Amino acid sequence: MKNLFLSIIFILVSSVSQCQIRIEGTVCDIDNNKLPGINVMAFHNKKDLISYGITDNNGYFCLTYNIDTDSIRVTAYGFDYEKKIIDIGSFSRFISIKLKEMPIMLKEVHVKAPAIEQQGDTLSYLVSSFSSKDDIVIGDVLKKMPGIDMDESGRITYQGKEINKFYIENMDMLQGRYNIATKNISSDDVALVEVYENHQPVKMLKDIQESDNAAINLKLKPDAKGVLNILAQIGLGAAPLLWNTELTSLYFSKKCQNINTYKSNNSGDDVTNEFTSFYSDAQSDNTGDMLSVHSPASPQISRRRYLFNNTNSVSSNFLRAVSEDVNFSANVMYYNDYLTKESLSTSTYYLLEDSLLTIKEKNSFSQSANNADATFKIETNKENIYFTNSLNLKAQWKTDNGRTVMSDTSRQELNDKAFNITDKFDLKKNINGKILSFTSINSYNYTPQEMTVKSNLYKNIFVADTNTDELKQSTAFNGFKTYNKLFVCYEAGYFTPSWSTGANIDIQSLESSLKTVDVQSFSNDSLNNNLMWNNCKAFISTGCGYKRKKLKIDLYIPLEFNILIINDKIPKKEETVKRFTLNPGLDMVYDASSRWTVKASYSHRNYLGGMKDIYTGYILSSYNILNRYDGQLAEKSTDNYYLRFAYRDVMKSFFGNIDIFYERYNSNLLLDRSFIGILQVQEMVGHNTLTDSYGLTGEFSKHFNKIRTTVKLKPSYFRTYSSIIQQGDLVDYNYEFIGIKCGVETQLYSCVEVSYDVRWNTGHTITETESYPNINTLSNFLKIKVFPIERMTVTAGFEQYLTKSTSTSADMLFADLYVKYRFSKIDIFLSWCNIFNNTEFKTISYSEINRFMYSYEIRPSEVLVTVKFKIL
Amino acid sequence: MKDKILFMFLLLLSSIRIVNAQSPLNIDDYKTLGESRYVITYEMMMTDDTLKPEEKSYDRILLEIGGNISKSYSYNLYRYDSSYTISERNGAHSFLNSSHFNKGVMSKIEIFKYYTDNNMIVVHRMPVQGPIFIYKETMNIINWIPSAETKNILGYQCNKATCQFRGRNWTAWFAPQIPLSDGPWKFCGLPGLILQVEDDKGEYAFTCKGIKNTTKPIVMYDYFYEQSTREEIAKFLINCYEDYYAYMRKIYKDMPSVLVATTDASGKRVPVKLSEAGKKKVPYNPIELE
Repeated sequence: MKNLFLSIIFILVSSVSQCQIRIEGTVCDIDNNKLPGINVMAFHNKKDLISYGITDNNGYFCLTYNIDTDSIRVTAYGFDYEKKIIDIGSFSRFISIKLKEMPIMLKEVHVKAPAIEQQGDTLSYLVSSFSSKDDIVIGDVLKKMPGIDMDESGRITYQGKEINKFYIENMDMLQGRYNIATKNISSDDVALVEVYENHQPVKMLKDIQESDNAAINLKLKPDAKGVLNILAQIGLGAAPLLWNTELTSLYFSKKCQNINTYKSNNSGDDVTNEFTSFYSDAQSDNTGDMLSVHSPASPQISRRRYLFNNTNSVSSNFLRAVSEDVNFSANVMYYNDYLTKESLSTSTYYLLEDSLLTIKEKNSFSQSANNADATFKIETNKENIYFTNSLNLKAQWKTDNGRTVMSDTSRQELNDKAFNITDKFDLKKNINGKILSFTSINSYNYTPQEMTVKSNLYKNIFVADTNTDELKQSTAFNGFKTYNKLFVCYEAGYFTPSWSTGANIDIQSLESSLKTVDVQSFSNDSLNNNLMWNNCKAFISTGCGYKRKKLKIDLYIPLEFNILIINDKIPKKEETVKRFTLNPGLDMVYDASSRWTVKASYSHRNYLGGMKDIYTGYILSSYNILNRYDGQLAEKSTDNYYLRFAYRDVMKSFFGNIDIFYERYNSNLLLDRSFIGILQVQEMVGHNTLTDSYGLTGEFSKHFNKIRTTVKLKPSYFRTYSSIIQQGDLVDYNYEFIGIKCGVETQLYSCVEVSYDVRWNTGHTITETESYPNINTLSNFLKIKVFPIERMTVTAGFEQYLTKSTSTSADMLFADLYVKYRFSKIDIFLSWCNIFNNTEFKTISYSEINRFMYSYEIRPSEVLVTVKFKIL
Repeated sequence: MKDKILFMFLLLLSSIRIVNAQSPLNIDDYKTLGESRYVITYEMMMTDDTLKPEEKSYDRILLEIGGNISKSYSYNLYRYDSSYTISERNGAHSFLNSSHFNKGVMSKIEIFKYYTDNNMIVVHRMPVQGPIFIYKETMNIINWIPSAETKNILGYQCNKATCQFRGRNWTAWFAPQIPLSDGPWKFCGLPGLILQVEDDKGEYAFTCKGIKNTTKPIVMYDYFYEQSTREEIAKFLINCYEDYYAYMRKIYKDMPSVLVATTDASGKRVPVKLSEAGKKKVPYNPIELE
């Protein structure tokens, strides 16, 4: 700065009427060269700026002020000159200042990319803005991102809706088993988590068939690509002997992706959920499970606390991109698991005239399960052609053992096998702007089950003179399904008309018999079933999409024709049912602004009940539940109304949505439950039943980037009106539930990280005559992570569960401690779970008009030391 | 073919935001004016439409400071020009790929402050393939009024100063610890680097996001510049946004069959020949109101 600057003079308002003080001067370097462009400032009290000037070409400056003071501080500072500070008396004068040449290095500030960035329909979450030192895998970070939520099973939702695809580098290797990614890929290897809103995975259908669901893509850091990572974990603990070992290999490149895992533990770590595909089309409804060994429902606490397991699992996931749009993937996995449960339960059934049936039982349950699953898929996804074929093979074989102690003991043993093979074929082609699609899904399922029950519950129940106490129930389910659909659509201006037609054939058979172990089968036919069920459905559907400005409307009107042939061979009854049904639906989406989306939809559906609610011979489905139906076909219909408001402001990192629903469910059958002693007999009887439910769920989350804090709030409310027959008495009841979840996660200070979650809910049942007491539960979760030194993390976790009803209450407090220490490239973890050594967890719940109190055995105080390191 | 490409081009441009529609320029030829010692990054917030004050757009402004000269320019526009330049080297048509376009909003003003001459050279690019104007202005014409208030920005203690400048009331926060009397856009003349400056209507703001000690050449690209004045450019832009298609007809007068993507009464985007396109008024809210 060698040229002239005009000095700018200013006067700071001062109430003191003083004559103006004027300090003039020159600034030059050591060789007496005049320095232009030097900032000269005058400070009162050494800190309050009262005047400033910038030296002109002659190095001249002039400072004026009106402050009444004895002395002032003058500083001179300029580009490449050392700062000079002089304290002088406050009176008009002339000073000369000499500056030494010295390059100035500024304290650098690195530009932080915004935590969330939006480009069109893609939101990019910067992983480093959400992760902390303690995070190990990407799943730990995903949970903290606003708008994204992950439940305990690992299921991911975005703005309250399930994601429809999970990609790694835009490739779908895991086919929905994304727990394998979220629990194994290191958070350090991921640069961005991208959310593709309204994601249509089929390229050809983009802009033609829009989706409401979002997809997630993990964008890896460049140095995480093209390298093979092998990670190992060895964990040992007590008491009793505990272990938790893992061996994982990961490889991601442009052409090839591969994740292999081997995991073994008995420390309550549920690795089997890595085998679950969360994609909506992966959920199979073709199961043939009829029997079960009595075991209480899982308590509403972290699974790690009550899971007594011994699991060994292996999985191999592979994807090869043959070309940019063609890839082949294979997922093969197997696990075996031995788990045990112990519980005490009190079930209270409200019977006629205020009489109560209370059943107290002690339950021991063990399961030895083997599961194998293999999926092979080939996919071509181009602008003009889409082709995919996936073949899935599943096998499961397990043995359940149960012991239930009441006044006496009942033993149950279930041998359960299930085999399933499913092939899905999908071909879509764009021919001159018309989309032609053919989909075919074929599956076969075979489920044989055999349960032996030893109990004196049954004496004189089935046949008066049979004094048996050991029964054998066997069932065999066979099912074959083929679903075929042809679909055409094209775009015509604002409209996208579509037509589809197809045929579904569903063939099922059920054979069952209830016998004593020693004697042959009972002569009584009512204890056997031999049923064939053939359902053929032909449908033709027309639909139309409409898109104009910010409004999208989709209307579809499928007309279905069902022929159902039921051949019940034991009563020698053959029945043919023919039904025409119309199942229309309407979806509307209005993008009110870049932030607001409103969605409304309505659908009506008619359907016929399945074979599992039509058999007429008794089946002992559990040691104390005897089921049968009166042979009347269930005919059901539902009307669904849905309204959604979603808001997101990416700049402010705020996401919110409210979903409101109303469902009316109509059935011609009603559950009739009666008791013979404590043996429950459940039958379906012909009675028109209406079940109305409505509710509201919301989800709000905001991230404060400056203070590295995420706040989430999830309110929910629902109410159901329905009926049940209990001990011959028709009871109308309604159930109301209110729940609030709230969480804060903060990394405000670099040495401490705190997360706090609170969940509160209340529910109660009301019948015409009675209002049952509320059950209130309050859960608090507090986690404090401290980083005392760079390499160390100490985490203290507290969980409190309060359950309260009028007469009973339960209060549980858990404390856990985790210490992580990084020793060069080895992570050492010490975990001490359940420090207070609680041995049981108590809870209360409602089902219909009945009340259940449980006490579960939970894992005692345990210490585990784990070492995690990188082999490659 | 040429028309078709141009149509796609315009379609893509208009899908970004027509007010910011900007054609990229080749930046292969330039002259070096000096060398930076510091590079300061600012986030620039703009409000294009005063009727929709909640709709903000954001750019990133880089201020390169050297001993005699500084340059303030849009990083988004620079990235846009560089990807265009690279693709032009590889054959121009390959650039017509939407991925290159989504670079966000771009401020089209470049300012070179010549400390030695106490003046600045302003380069202002007009929408689409419009002219590139250049004009000269005197530096340090802002009459700052300092106040005693202080606040901390990025770890620097900053003092407050306010001014009235060309129709807006601005509040600036400058760091006396950094002896650089400079700032983003035309702002300068305070005894310390300006780290934040915003107008009282909340329509424009510059916020420092990064400070780096780095040496790199400060360059001026060899475009075909048209000498002008600030007042003439202001009039030019008011006319341009008053009837945007009329402006485009002037720019593309050799190509009467150019298609533009217009929005019809129902809100659907339809291609229309530029020569037949109706009047289109584009909201315009310049940083200098006077």
